[in-house]
Amino acid sequence: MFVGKISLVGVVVAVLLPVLARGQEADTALTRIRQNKAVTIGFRESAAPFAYLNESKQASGYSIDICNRIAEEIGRKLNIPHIETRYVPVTPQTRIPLIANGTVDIECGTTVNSLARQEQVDFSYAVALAGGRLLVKKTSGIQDLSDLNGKIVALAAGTTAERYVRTALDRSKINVRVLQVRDNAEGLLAVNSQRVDAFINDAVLLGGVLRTAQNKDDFAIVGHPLSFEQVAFMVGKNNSGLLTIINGTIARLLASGELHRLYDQWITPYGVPIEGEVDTLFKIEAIAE
Amino acid sequence: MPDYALIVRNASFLFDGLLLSLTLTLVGVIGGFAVGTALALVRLFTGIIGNYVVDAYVFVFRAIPLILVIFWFYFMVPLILGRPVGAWTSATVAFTLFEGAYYSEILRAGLKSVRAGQLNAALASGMSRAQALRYVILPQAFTAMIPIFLTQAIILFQDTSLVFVVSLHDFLTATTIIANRDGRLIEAYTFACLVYYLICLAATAGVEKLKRTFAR
Amino acid sequence: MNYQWNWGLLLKEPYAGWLLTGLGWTVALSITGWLIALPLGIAIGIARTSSSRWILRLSGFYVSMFRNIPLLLQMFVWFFVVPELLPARLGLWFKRDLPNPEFWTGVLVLAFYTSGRLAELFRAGLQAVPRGQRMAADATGMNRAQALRYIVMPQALRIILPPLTSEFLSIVKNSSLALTIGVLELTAQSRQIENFTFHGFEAFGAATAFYVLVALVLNLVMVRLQRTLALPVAV
Repeated sequence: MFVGKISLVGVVVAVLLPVLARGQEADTALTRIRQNKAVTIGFRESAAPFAYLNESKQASGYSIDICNRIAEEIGRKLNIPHIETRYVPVTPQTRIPLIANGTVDIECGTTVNSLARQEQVDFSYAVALAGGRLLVKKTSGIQDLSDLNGKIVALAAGTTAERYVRTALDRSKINVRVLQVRDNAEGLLAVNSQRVDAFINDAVLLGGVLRTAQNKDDFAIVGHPLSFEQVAFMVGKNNSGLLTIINGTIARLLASGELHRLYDQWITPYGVPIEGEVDTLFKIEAIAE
Repeated sequence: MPDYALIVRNASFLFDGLLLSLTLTLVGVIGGFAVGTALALVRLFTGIIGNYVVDAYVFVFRAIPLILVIFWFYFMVPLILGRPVGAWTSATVAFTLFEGAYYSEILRAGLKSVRAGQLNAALASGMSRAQALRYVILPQAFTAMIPIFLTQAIILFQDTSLVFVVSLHDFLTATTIIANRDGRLIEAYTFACLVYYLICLAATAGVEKLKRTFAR
Repeated sequence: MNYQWNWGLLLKEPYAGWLLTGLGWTVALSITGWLIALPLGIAIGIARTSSSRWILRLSGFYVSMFRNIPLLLQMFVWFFVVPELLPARLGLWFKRDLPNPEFWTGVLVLAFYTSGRLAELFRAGLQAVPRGQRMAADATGMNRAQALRYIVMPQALRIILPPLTSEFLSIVKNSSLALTIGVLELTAQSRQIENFTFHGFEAFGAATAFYVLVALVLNLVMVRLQRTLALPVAV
């Protein structure tokens, strides 16, 4: 009886052990890309101008353009002519799990580098800087975070804004109620319907969601930047081969000025031109051959 | 001013969503039926342990919310397979296993509802147990169960709206996308209500009619 | 499978606190919703056995409406559409000045949805009471309301108490849908933990454990009830 139980446990452990102990294989992404002859790119569907679904339901945007160039470079490096690019939509909640479990090879959106995230994924060089600001109705008279005392604020689930805003509010002892919304569109809706007084997220994303608004003149983006965060692309852990190709592509795009051109095409119209910190960042990242 | 032209503008997008809802329902029904049958067979042909395991399976799946099941499989399926898997596959697995639990209970109740006398009579007339099952018990059980199966399918059709939480573009998610995009919430949501209401009403009426045809 | 286990995570702050808060919201949603749904359900259930065709049709429409529209869609309608249809001041109050507007919206949705199901349950229960009971009550001089209150309803309750516990389990499960309108109940918190730590097994496992516990408790209650309510047999 006892022997039977022990052997049962032994069998169970023997079956589970290989599953649990499968080592950290290196460069699984490149292997996958070689097998599929395709790069799977995770993109945001409503995070203009970085990544969004345009009129013809195609993935487009600043991050998408850069990632397309990265995919070409991967095709060159792996000797796969006409490498295919597959696009998988992601949301702030799903982007990291999908990278971590291998569903997507590269996440091309507006994801911001953070130490907590680095425990599960690796980040490329930054392609933009994110600064948190407030989206408010002009009539509300709110100018900055300090004006939010006793008010209601919307934060998108799973974004870094959700974290640093809560910390900032706790630190400054401002009494604010927080409503969690799913994405930028819902955040705009919450401000528009007066359910909240402000929606806080990265300035470029706010500019993006505002452009498609019916009544954009009713809104204003206010406040000094609440953060200086690096917008970068995510890859799974242990994919240094892929990461090298990505960073190399970004550095070369910067050196040739191509990235600046893309940035001016997509981002500058949203009120964040290449100057100050962004300019310095681009200069530093243009690493020589 | 209500702007119902919104619906017309986005008709194909909404239709694709509806198609996905219906497809997911179909997959859930067929898959769920397969899983349910497998569970029922396990119950019939294994001893106490088999029954205990199936009981536990059914109990857990009926105790937890479907949203949690969807989250679980969305997280777990790619991890177990060790390879990329999309929202569609995870949702399909989630719904199949979830419905399987419910279907196995319907099967169990259906098989029980056939009177013992039927089995005895079949055995007495010389059939083997398997033959009795196949020619006498199961047909009767199925006629009893089909209306309940179909009702469960209608419930599943409504439950497919929950794939909203993993951004799969079913009919409801498609509705929310166009509602937010064009800022026309009232029109979009009332339209969605109408569509679901009419479909479910018609389907339920159909099942009622079926029940009446079956009634002896 | 590249997974690092860390069950101790659940006992660490802030995650333990999140789970407890989520639990609190789930319990609050379920109980408050139930307290509203029950009287509403009984009323509509009685209406469903009415002799007036008008009342029958109206209550039938009530039930059919809440039964044929997915609960999630009902959640969105109450959250996004209803406040816009109310007069401006009331709508604004409903959206922001009411403390915890998302919670109360969730409660209303759950209450109305469950009341539809309870109505059908009560109708079935009332109709299951043998007609002879009502006739006997009539013969002793009771009017319809008295018959309902003293004779029919108690017997009906006896019949439907077991399915009633399963309906309560349903409302506990359905409370999870409130996460879509911003109520950070148990399932939402477990997902939040998974978001922040990527330890999905632990996070979702905790939520699963709670729901299973509730189901077990309700199961025990139901078995107890069935035993207490069983009518003594003659033999």
